[in-house]
Parts: sequence; structure tokens; C-alpha cells
Amino acid sequence: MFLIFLVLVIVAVVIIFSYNSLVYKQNQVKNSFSSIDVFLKKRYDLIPNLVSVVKAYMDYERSVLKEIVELRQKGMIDDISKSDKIDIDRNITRNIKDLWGVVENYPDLKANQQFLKLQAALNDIEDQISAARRAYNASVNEFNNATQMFPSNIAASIFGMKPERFFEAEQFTKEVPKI
Amino acid sequence: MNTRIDKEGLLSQLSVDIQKINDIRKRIGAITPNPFIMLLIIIACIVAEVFLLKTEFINIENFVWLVIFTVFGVFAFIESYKRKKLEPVRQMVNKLRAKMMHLINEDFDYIVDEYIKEDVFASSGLINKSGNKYSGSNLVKGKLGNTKFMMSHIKYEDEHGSGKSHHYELIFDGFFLVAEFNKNFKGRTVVLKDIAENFFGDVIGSWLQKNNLLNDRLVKLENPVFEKKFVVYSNDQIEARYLLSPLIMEKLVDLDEKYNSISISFIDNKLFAVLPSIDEFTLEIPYEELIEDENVWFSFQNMNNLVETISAIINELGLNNKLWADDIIESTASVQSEDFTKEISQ
Repeated sequence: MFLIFLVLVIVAVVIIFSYNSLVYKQNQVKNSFSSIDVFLKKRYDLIPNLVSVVKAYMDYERSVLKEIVELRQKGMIDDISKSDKIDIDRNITRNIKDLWGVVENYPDLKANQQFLKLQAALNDIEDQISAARRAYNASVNEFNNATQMFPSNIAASIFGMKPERFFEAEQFTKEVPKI
Repeated sequence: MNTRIDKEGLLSQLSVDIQKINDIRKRIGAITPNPFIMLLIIIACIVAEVFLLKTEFINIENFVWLVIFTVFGVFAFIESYKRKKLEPVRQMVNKLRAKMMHLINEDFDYIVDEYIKEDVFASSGLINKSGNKYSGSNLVKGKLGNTKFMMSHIKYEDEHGSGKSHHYELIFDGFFLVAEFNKNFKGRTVVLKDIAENFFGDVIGSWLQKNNLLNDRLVKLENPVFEKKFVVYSNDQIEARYLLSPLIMEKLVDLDEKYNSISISFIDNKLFAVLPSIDEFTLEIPYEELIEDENVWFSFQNMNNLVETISAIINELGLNNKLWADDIIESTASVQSEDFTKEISQ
């Protein structure tokens, strides 16, 4: 009888500890995602300036700018899901990368100091977003491992905690302009 | 940086200075007494001491101590005499070395007898032990690109007690670099050599690192080669990853392989780095005898090595080409977000 009681106590303690550890890790995932949000917001803040500078030079290639603006508007909506945010971020990153490619055809724009500063700032923010993504993925990895490894996987299945989605971004190869 | 100066070119540019130093050295003449004279001095001192001492103190044990102290005393006196005699030569050699550094990069200052302050060294977070003897030399300072820097040799030791309770530990002996970032960061990130995982294995080592109360939170990064060599602690997980981008991690692995051992930290808008004292960084030029061309060339090559190391750290870690987005957001914040959406969708 005592043995059964002891086993039950041990199981309860393990589940409590596992649950607390899972909650801690899940909160870290949430915090990391909030940080990505801060940097995404910073990037959204720069886009109006970028568009304002670029549109004067790029009369024939407004579609790229238009897409960036539309994505920004979607990204600025408060209650979009985490999954949508990840997709919007990926698309904006790709579009900005495309924009840098198009800018190569506009020597005057490439020589514009305001543009160069904005490009450097966007590249810097991309570095910050990338760092935040990596921190988020590290938290997700830790949480997902805990949901799959024994004995915390038992607590995870009891309390319905499921593995989180990684933030996979497009590789953003950039050139830092000389200012 | 001028690394194209060959041996002949260097020696021809410095020939006048070397000649001047050698002339002064010749004028000073011999500084080490003849061994026979030294022996006579030691014997004379011992005899004098024996006569001065009271007879009841003279026994075999005391006599042995007296001989030992006398020999040490005479050698110490001769050493201090040599140093005093050679001081003008030393000063001129130091000037010669500063001139050599100017030939490598005219914007760099090189002060042989100065070094980076102890509080700066302590604030780097790279040395966890505390000692009580701090010394240094070979301060190089200047600006490389946009980046101000300082580097010097530092020796940090801990010594206390005497006799059987005497304790001595060499905590650090190597080069210490401080470079200013031309950007701001708030956190504190320290990249140290990974001793725990290499010594205790992945599982125990990792547990020890995670529960290390002396440092900030452990940062686990994605590059396995980097993780094998280094352990990272930071009070800001995102900023640590911002500073240690995948490219920077690769560069750090390369730098570590090149210089055998490197640890860095990012604190208070500065980069700190420590490198071991290796033969390739030996900058001294022997001056007890006449200055030899070979020694001047050897020192110059090592100065080049040191400057290349500073340049490698500053350039490889991208200290020159970073800007802070926040400043730019403020300086370019001229367009209201409401206006531009209309204009672009026309």
C-alpha cells in the first residue's frame, strides 16, 4: 500500500515539475515571438520612408512597392495569427530583397544618400529580425523537445500542449551599402 | 596600413635612429662587471659582514644565509645599476618602436610603457578570477576605419602569503583589445572558450554552463563548430544573436583557429577581446648590447602581426559597417504612413 502511495507521489511530483517546466518554456516561446513583433513593427515604420524615396525614381516598377505596402498593411492588423505574421514577414523579406535587385538598374537612386541610409537601416532591422527569429526558434526547439521527450511528454499530452511552428525565413542575402 | 615595407626599406628609414642608439650604447660601455671582480665583491661583502656581526650570531646556518643574501644583493645591485645606465638607451629604443608603428599606420599611437587601465580590463567580463597584481605594456591606440580601438599587453596575477602559505597564480598573460562600436547596444554578451563541455562532455558540461551562477544566461547557438569552441552568456538572448550572426560565428571560429585562443565580449557599446601572448607578438628589441638589424626587423614583423590581428578582429566582426536603425528611423522619419499608401496605389 505504502509502495503504491509512494509511486503515485513520485508520478505526481514528476508531472508537476514537467508541467511547470513546459509552462516556463511555452512562456519563453511567447516572449520571443513578442520580440519579433517589435522588430517587425520597426520595419513597418521604415517602409513609408522607403516608398517615398524610391517611388520618385522607379516609375515603371511600382508593382514591387505596391506589394510591399499591401503586405505592410496586412502585417499591421492587430489580431492576425502567428502563422500569418510568419508568412507576411517571409513575403516582405523576399520583396525587399527583390527591390534591392531592381534598384541596381537605377544609378541615381543608388547614389541617393537618403535611400542608402534607409537601405542600411532596413538591412540592420533585418539582422535584428533574424536574431529575434533565431531566439524564437531556439525557444521553440527547447519547448518542442520537452513536449516529445519522456517524462515531460506525458504532462504535455495531459495538458494538451502541442509542438510550436518554427519561424522559417527566406535567406536574406544583403549588401550593406557604404555611406 | 603599410605592410609593404621590406627589410632593406625599413632599415634604411631607421638607420639614423639605430646609429644614434648604438653610439650612445657604445659611450655607456660595458655594464656587466667581470665575473672575477664580481666574485671579489661578494667575498669582500661577506668578510665585512662577518666582521660587523657579533660572534654569538655566527654559526654554519647563519653563515649560509648570509652568503645567499649577499649573492642576491650583489646581483640585484648590479641589475639596478645596469638598468639605470641603460635607461637613456631604453627610452630611445621605445621611440624607435613608436616610429616603426607609425610606418605601419601613421594614425596609430604606440606607447611601450603604457597599458589599458585595470577597471577597463575588469569590466570586460572576460576574466572571472580576481587577482592583486596588474601590469602591462605595449599600448597601441588609434582608429581603424570608423572604429576607435586600444590594445595592450596585460599580465594579471594573484599572489599572497609567504613561505609555505605562499600562493601564486598567473590569471592572464596576453593581449587585450577594446574597440568602440559605432552603434549602440544595451545588453551584455560574453563569448568564452568552452572549457566545461570539452572537459566534462556535452551533457555534464552543458548542465554546468546552464547553472553557472557567475555569468548571465547561457545562449545556445546553432553553429555546432562554434558551440564546440565557445560558450556564450548574455542578459539579452536576441541581442546576443544579433551580435553573433551566423557569419560572425564563422569568423570567430576562424580567428580562434588562427590565434589559437580568443575570447570576446560586447559590453557598454564596446567590443573586448583577449588573445594569448604568442611569439608572433613579441615586440621587444634587445638593447643591452648594440641594436641588431635582425632584431629590429623581427620586432617590426611582429608589430605587423599585431596590427593585422587588430584589423582582422575589427573588420571580420564588421565593426566598421554597422549602423543603428533607430537613429536612421529618427533622422528619416519625414513621411507619414497615411500619405504614402495613397500615393503608391495610384
